[in-house]
Amino acid sequence: MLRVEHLTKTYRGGKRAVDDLSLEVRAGDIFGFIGHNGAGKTTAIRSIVGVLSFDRGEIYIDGRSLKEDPIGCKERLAYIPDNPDLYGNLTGIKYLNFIGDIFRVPADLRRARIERYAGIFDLTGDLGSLISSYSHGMKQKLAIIAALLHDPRLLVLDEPFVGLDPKAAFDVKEIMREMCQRGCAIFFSTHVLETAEKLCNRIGIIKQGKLVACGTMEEVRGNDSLEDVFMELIEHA
Amino acid sequence: MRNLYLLVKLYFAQLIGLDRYKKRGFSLKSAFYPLLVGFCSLALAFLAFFYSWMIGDGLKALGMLDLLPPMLFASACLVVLFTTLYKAGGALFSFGDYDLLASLPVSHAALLASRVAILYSLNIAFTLLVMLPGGAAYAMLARPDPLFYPVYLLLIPFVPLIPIILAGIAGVLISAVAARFRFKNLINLLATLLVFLGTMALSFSVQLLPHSDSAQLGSLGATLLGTLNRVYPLTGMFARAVCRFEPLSILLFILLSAGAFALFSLLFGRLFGRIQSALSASYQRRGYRMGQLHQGSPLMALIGKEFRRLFGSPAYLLNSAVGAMMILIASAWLCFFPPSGLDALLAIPELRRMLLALLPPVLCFFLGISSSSGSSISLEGPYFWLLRSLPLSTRTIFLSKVLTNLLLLLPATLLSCGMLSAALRPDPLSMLCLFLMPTACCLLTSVMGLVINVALPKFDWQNETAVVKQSAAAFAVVFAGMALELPPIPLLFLLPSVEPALILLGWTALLLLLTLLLSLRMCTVSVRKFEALEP
Repeated sequence: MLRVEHLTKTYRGGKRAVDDLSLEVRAGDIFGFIGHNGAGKTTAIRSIVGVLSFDRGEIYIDGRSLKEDPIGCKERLAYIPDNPDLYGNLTGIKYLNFIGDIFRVPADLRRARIERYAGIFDLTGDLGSLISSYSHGMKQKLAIIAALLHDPRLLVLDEPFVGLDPKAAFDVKEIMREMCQRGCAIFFSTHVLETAEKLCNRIGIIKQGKLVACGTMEEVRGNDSLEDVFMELIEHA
Repeated sequence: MRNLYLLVKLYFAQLIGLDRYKKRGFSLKSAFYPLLVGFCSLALAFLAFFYSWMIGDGLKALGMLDLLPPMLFASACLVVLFTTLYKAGGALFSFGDYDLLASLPVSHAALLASRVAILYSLNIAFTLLVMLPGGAAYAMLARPDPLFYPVYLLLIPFVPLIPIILAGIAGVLISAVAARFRFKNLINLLATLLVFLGTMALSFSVQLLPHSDSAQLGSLGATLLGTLNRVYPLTGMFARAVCRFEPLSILLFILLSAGAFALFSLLFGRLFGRIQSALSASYQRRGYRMGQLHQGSPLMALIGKEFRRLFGSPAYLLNSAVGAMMILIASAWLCFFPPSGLDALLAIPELRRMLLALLPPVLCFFLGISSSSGSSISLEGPYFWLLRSLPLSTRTIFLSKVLTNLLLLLPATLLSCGMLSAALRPDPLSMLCLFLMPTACCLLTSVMGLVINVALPKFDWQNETAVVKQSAAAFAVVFAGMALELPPIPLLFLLPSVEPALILLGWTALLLLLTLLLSLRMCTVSVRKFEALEP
């Protein structure tokens, strides 16, 4: 579903944020992308979803090249950043309708999906309010509903559980599992190793822009805890 | 005092991007903004000198040269009042980094004082650019007493104080009242517009006072001074201070301005927290129920989003539509309430010919000085991730922004041209110019604004005013608009033997050609630039 080949991204000023990164996320995978602050997780994610351009490498979404067919790729994925800034002058429902129009989701389908997900996240009653009046968690929930509106094949999330209340975090995990059962793929970054350990079937650990470990949970962890492996890799790899 | 200095320094460092210059070093691109501001300032100073000289020369012939300093004073005050009115509430109280700054060990008084100091700095720069060249023109024409120079220079720093206070009070009241309503931005916009138009109408009605006043005041000069004094009551005091050097007027002017300013800062400093809370309050409607959802095309969705952005920000809308609004109001006034002498004026063939020839470029000037597309890329700053992660082509994004500006300007322009045609009854060729040139101007402004903004984006803003009024793109749009719309006016005077319609149609063709070239650039170079942007 997602194939990253030799992705390299250097910022102006010479800082190489992502260095020759290659990984694959298959249909049905929940892939955890782990790394400390400044390791290059967000840069890699922003490149994968087409927000940032990159210097070298290739990214394929569902077999399509992001460089050659960016719109086709973006139609198949959804991205939720760690701190979603949404158009504050729109109401929640107008924002969702805007996203529905962009992805050409039929009106009856978008209504059914909004009803379902807004119900799960207890946001239906607030959809008539301006987004500028939302709390951080409400914006996060709205961004998640918007991301699910077109039923993406690949869901890319940057620190999705930061700012969510425990119930919402649980609901997001359930939705992620359900999507994977339907053959979609999830790629998300996290600092919370416990979450990754419980939720993911595959993980990648990034350090200074390079992938230092990648594979199934069992392959990477072996007989140790993920925390021990992570600390070992970060300190000695 | 140290905190005040640090806060003001922080604001200007962000506005100019000082740290970026230091980090990246000097380059032609990094120097563009200061160079552009410098160039615009020089151009404004030159225009102020030129027009002051022309007006002063005329006044000198009538023996009323002493009217020039109060005219300069009243003009500077009115412009400061108008330009501060719609940004004062936001600039003083609703700034994006308020939460961060309010959590620091800085008093509310220092916070407000820093915002007032920022507003003052921006306005004193404008006041100096108008009053120094204007004062120089007066000095060259009048050869006044040497005392004029120190008194004039002493009073200039006090000139923008009271207009800032008036605009600040009006802006805060409007924003505070509007915050209680669901459609607070619309209420804010309508109220600001009402105050704006009310002030314009008041000053206009005062200027049209009947001549019976002149008899009471004794002379035409005194009548005009009285008129200016009615527009802005401190004008007479300023005139007596700089032309007659009356010590009482000098002292009163300084005390009134500085005293009112100190009182405003003290009072609003104490109420800062409460005003800030009132302004940041937002209407929340719980209990939303799902209704029917309407499906549309991605382009229509983007245009709808652009319009909501526009109508959600009074500063953005006023800045983008003020020209179109002014021509619409003026045209409606001329069409439905024609001045009594209009028919007589139009009966004079030469006057009619010149009036009809001047009308299209004058309309273009008002339409060309602002453009919603000129700020539309920069305003995407925090939302750029969304625009880039959605399955949209860059051309569709650009088209939505260009069409938004066209939809904002074109209907008002065509309606204005229709009303002007009804009022002035031009011949077919003049009517063609009247419709064609402003339409070409709308097309050019829409495309040019976008091309300029892609070349000069500003994403790291805390307040929309910083994008809409103070960014390099905003300066460039205004300046390019003026440079492209005004030349037909001197051409009409310099080439009196050439048929005016020929000049106007020729210039219209030039505008359309430029629009075509810029559209090509927009679809190629600007697309590449936009796709390489990394806010």
